[in-house]
Amino acid sequence: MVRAVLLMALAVCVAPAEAPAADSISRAVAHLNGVTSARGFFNITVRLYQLEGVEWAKYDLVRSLITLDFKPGQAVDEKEIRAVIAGAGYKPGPIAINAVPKPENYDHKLGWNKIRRPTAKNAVGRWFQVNF
Amino acid sequence: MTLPLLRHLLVITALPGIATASAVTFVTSLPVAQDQIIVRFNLQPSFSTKQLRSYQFPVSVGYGLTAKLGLFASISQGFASVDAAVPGGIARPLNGGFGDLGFYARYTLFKVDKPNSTLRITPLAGMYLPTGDNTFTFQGKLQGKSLQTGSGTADPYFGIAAGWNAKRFTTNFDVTYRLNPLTGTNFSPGSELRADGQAEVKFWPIRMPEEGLPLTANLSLESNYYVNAKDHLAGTISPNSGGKVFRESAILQLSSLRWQVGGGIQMPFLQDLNGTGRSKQKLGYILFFEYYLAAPVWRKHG
Repeated sequence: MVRAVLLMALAVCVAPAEAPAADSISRAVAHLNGVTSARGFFNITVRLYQLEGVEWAKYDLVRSLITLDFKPGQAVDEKEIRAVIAGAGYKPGPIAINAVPKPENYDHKLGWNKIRRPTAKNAVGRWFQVNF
Repeated sequence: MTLPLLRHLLVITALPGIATASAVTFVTSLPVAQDQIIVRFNLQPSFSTKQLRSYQFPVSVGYGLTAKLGLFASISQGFASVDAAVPGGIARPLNGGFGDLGFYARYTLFKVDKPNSTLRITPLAGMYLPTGDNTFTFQGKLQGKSLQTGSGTADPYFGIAAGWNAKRFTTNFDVTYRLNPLTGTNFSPGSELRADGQAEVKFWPIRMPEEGLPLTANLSLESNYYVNAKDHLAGTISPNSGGKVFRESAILQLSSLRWQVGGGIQMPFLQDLNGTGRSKQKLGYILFFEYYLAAPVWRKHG
């Protein structure tokens, strides 16, 4: 019995300290009007690099939602998101912006796509980076 | 003379509508958003009576200048051949090359975007430039439009397109007119009025996942109705030209975020052709690959 208590006490002592809270990121979830196919999401995708700090986008066709995850610490402006959606030719619906723990991974099968950011010095290079 | 190469070059500009999978056998509903480029490559062989065979490879390009204004180009190339009776047997004249280059602008005049559907009405207008050839002769005789690749004139082109797209179903329609004036040598392939319709269903996945953007398989049924005026050949109206044609196509498509690929079959249901002894289409095939591109990024972001 004493041994069991000692073992339990040891286990408590050597247990890892509680992991620090995961990095928090800003997540915007936008309802879309008029997007009824993959092509509609593509029309928005090609403009997402214009949003500062957006790293991942998730497309949900059935619910007509686009979810945008920004890099940690990035301030998010709802007006800029609306401008990107409208610029692609669609009418944005309600947009919710919340702080969420940074996901450990993004599953492409669930609709996540890495946003391609053009960083090349010349326009041709940037065009290739966005498209291929 | 049915199934003229020139008509293929017009018709084939098979391009598609905004925000969804789109028609393959007509161009006017090609979807393009601002700062986006769409490129579609087509392969369209068709076979007719009198051994008229046509193989066309049109490329269509769309660019979204603004959210409402799209600019389009259709670049046609291909070749056609037909059996011709000559002293001593049958000859097989063949002609090919680039066809007329088409440009048009389309403006979204009216649209209603809802969470599960979108409706758009888009007038369009443009011009076909005479980059094709209309001087092909065989045994010294100027051939009709089935073996010519161009009209020889700048041809005004205008019409109106409309589309209603939902998550499972899509419909697109258009009515267009191409005016083919007489050339300096009094040649004209005859003006063309056409009306097109498309109904499409996404049949795969049968049950759409709650999350994500799956690869979808679509079946598109498309109808094309043409009314062609009679040709002018060497200053005279050709009695064996013009008429009405109605075709139905069934096309399977696979769509992803960045590309679409598909193929199908085209069947003529009505060929009410003027004159006698005209060549009639038996069957046509359509294969296409379409890739979506972002426009050049002129300014660095971030």
